[in-house]
Amino acid sequence: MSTSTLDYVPHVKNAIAHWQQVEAKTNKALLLKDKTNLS
Amino acid sequence: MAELRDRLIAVHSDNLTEANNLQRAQETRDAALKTLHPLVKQARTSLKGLVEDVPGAKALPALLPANSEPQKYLQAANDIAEVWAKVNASDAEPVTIPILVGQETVQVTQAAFVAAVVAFSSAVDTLMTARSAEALGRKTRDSLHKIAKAKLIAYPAAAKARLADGDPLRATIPTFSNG
Repeated sequence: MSTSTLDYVPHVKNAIAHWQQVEAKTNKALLLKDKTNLS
Repeated sequence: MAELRDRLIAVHSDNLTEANNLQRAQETRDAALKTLHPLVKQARTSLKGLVEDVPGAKALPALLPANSEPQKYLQAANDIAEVWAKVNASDAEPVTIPILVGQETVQVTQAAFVAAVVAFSSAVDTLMTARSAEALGRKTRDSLHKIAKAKLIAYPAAAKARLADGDPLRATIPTFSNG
C-alpha cells in the first residue's frame, strides 16, 4: 500500500530542515545524485 | 523541495475536495434516480393503454432496471417523455400520472417528468466530471509521491557527501524507507 500524501509531508519537511543546516554549514547548494537541486 | 512540500500539501487538500465532490455527486445522482425511477415505471404503465390510439407515436421502451447504464436509461426516459408529449398533443386534456407520495397520491405532469429526467441527466454528467477530477487528482498525487520518494531516498547520500566524518549533522540525517 502506498504512503498517503499527508505521510510524505513530514518526511519532506525533515529533509528540508536538515538540508538547510547542511547548506548553512557548507555554504554550498546540495545536489542529489541525479544532479537535481534538492530545492 | 520546499515547492514539492507545498505541492504535496496542496494536492492533498485537492484530493480531499475531489473525494468530497465525488461523494456528493454520487448522492445527488442516487437521489435523482430515486425520484425518477418510480415516475418512469408509472409513466410507462399509465401511457401504455393510451399510446395505441395516438398516430405517429413510437412504442414505449422496455422498462430498464434502475442500475442500467445511465445513457441507455436516459434514452428510454426521453422516449417515454416524447410519447407522453404526443399523447398530450392528441388529447383534449394533458395526461398526468398518479404517484404515491407517503399516503397521498399526487398527479405528475409531463413537464414535471421531463424536469426529473433533466435533473438525473445533469447529475450523471456532474458525477462523470467528479470521477474524472478525482482520478486526475490521484494521478497527480501519485506522481508527486514518486518525486518525493526519489528525493527522500537520495537525500542521505547527498548530505553525507557534504559532511565530514564525525560531523554531528551526520547523526541527524533523516532516513526514509517506503518499500
